[in-house]
Amino acid sequence: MADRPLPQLPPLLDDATRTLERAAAPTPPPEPRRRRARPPRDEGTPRRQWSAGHALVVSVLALALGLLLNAPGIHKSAFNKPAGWERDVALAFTGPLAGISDALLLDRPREGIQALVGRSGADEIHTDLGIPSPSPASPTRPAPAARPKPEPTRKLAFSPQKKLRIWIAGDSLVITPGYAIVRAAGASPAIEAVGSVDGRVATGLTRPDVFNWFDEIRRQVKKLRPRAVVLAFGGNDDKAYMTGVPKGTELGDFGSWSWRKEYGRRVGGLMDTINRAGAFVIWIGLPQTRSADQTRRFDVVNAVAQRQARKRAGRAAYIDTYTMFAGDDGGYAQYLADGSGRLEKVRSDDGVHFERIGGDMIARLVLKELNKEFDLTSWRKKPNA
Amino acid sequence: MIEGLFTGWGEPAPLVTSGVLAAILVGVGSQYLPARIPRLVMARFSRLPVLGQATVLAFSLMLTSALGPEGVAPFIYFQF
Amino acid sequence: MLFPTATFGLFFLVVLPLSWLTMPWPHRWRPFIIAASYVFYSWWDWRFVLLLAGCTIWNQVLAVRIWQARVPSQRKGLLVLALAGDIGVLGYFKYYDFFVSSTDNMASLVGLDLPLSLKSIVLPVGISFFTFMAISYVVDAYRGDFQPTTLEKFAVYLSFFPHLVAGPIVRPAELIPQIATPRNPRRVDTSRAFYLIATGLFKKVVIANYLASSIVDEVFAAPGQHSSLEILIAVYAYAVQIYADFSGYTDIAIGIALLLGFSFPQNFDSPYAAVSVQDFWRRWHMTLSRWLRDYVYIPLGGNRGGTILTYRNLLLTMLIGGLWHGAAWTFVVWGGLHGAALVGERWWRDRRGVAALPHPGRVAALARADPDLPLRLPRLDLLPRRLVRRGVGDDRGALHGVG
Repeated sequence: MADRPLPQLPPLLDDATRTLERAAAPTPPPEPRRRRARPPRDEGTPRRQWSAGHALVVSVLALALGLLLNAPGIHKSAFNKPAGWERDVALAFTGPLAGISDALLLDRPREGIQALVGRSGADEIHTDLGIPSPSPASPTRPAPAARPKPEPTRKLAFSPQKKLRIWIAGDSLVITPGYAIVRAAGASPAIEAVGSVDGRVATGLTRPDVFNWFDEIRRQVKKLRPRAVVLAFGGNDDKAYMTGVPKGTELGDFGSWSWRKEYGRRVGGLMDTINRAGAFVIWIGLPQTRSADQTRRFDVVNAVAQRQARKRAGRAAYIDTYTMFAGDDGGYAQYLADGSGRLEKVRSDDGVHFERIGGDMIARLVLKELNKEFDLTSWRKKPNA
Repeated sequence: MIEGLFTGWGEPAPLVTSGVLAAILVGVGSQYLPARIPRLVMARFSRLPVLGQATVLAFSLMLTSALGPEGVAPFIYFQF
Repeated sequence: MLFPTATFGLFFLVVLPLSWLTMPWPHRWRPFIIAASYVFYSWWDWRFVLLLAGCTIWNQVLAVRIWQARVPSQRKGLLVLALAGDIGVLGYFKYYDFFVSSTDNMASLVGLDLPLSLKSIVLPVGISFFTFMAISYVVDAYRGDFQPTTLEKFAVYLSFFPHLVAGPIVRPAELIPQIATPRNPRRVDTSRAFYLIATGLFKKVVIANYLASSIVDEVFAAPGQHSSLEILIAVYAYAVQIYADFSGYTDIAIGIALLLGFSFPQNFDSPYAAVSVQDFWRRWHMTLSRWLRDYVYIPLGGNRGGTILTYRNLLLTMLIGGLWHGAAWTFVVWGGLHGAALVGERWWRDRRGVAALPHPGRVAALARADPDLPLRLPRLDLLPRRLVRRGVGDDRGALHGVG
């Protein structure tokens, strides 16, 4: 306390009184020993004190006006909520709110600021998937830029002069492995990671309204021209509700036949988009998690993705993290022993995400897969390489 | 990381944007702001009528929401 | 419930009027605010509430016993018991896995295979903060500085939702007297409260998040893939990010408490304008610094035992401060570096008789003394692992031919 005598001024902090709010200190604190003289706090016009009722009125008014000013953003957040009564209630409120805000032009300042920082359209809700239409499982035309046939003898060769361009995208589960892959790619002279690791928390393929990955991936493969794309999706897709479902399609419960069909269409559609841009797909499957229920749901998502990858043999590969991260008993494990028996923390405390070492384990498998698909080493044998 | 501080000069730095530099400048610069400026702002604010105060606050909420990310930003100090 | 969420907004709009309406009757207000705080805390996990309640009862019972006990040895025994309980709980939740994996790895280095098992314990939010507040309550009772209050008031003190999950770490003598008597509803410093909440939100949601997503996360995750300029700017960006994130959050906490009529101590005072490491710690997470001073540094002997002992105490205090931040060796090293810097500064001051290192201009001081660089060290995540093993490397060597 300020008034407790200290034997000597300790060097760590010598003026306890400065840590107290001036308003709260009952007695004026002694002037602390400081190099810079500070003016007393309460110079100039004093602040007017108000009543508690005033605080409440100002808070309510500010929030009400704030709701109107931010209505488009709030409506989008409500739309992006997980399906359920909370979303229904929120939408019943935010829909009219956005209408009023628009009619009173109160949404314009927000639009203006977003335009100023280059985020125009951030509040728009856009659920069109635009994935290659008829039967995504068997494209009628062969992918133009893709390699003709997956012949192990005729692998596409890359070298330090002509590096294999890889790009990484997905939900939050891709972030740690993604950066591990980038580090691993940096250590290989024939691989180059292009763009940033595009890991977006709380997104997936079921809810293009939250984030439209179909648009994003189409745009990025065109811009970055990768020859291999590493994807990890599904961590947030273990739910029945989807947006962007074609008209006339009835979705059943999570894991039902119709759900699997629609989800498969999305996974396959993404793979085709990438294949048609001339790139190979590496799909990182979901790991088991601390929750047994979640793990069971992830099984369903994994089965769909694995099936889609298998259908595209030579153009897509599936990496099974499920068994890779199993403990001695086959179940979830937060720590795994490495080669020398040291325990390493591979999963984060939330029981779902990966720790850095877990990411490195996945990166090693991804690199192995890339080496299987592409020739990344023969340049070493050439004398002028 | 530390060796990278010395070995990669002259390479392109696409992540160093004017926005990032401005945010750092605001973050560091605000700490050299004389204490009387926030005091003055608070005193002026306290003299506004109720509606004026609510409007100022609503616009600051709008600014934060329009510039902020979608969803809740994670909080570093929660692990403690 | 996080402060910058709609859920908290609704919660607060209900709690604010109810708190003021019940305020004139403390016997109504206190149960109400305890209930509100427990609801706030249970939003994460209802089981955490049991821990908070247990911690409240444990410390209250022992603080009262300590205060009543007359025999010094008995008082000391009770204090040790209380602290063992508090530190034991904190240690179990926060450090168990760290301790077990470190012990196991050390044992395996010498060829031992210990039968230890890891538990994947979930860390209750804010446990480090409320445990420290509970410790200050018990120690203040032991020192005779603060007479233990009633269980109800202590429960408000410990669980009061504005400070519950991320501080500031408020002392008993600061908050309990405010809890004891009704706050004046006619004189509320609303402008300061709104200012702190609005700027805190902006710092936390805009500045911290923008820097994290634009540069920091990417560069820190794969430094080998970025140029020196990017790494340098990312290091500074992280300094600003962590300041904006944490100070923004505690500013909101202080503002919310003010609207409810309570004043909390300041937690940040422009730390990057500090002119020395010591000055930095006076300005950064101030309520933790003074806690460490009063409950670690001074009990260790402070600066009363001569030069060498003072240096040792500084170093130990900062090591404990480092470990408080997280269960990892990087935090221990971080605390060690800060301790060493404080010792170095003190040594310099003792020799030269100046208060702090000379500084050629403020901005230069930030770059040179760089008091917060070690704050970013835990982020680098390079310490023990890098020393022990090199897996998929992040060497720039491959890119630059120097490694």
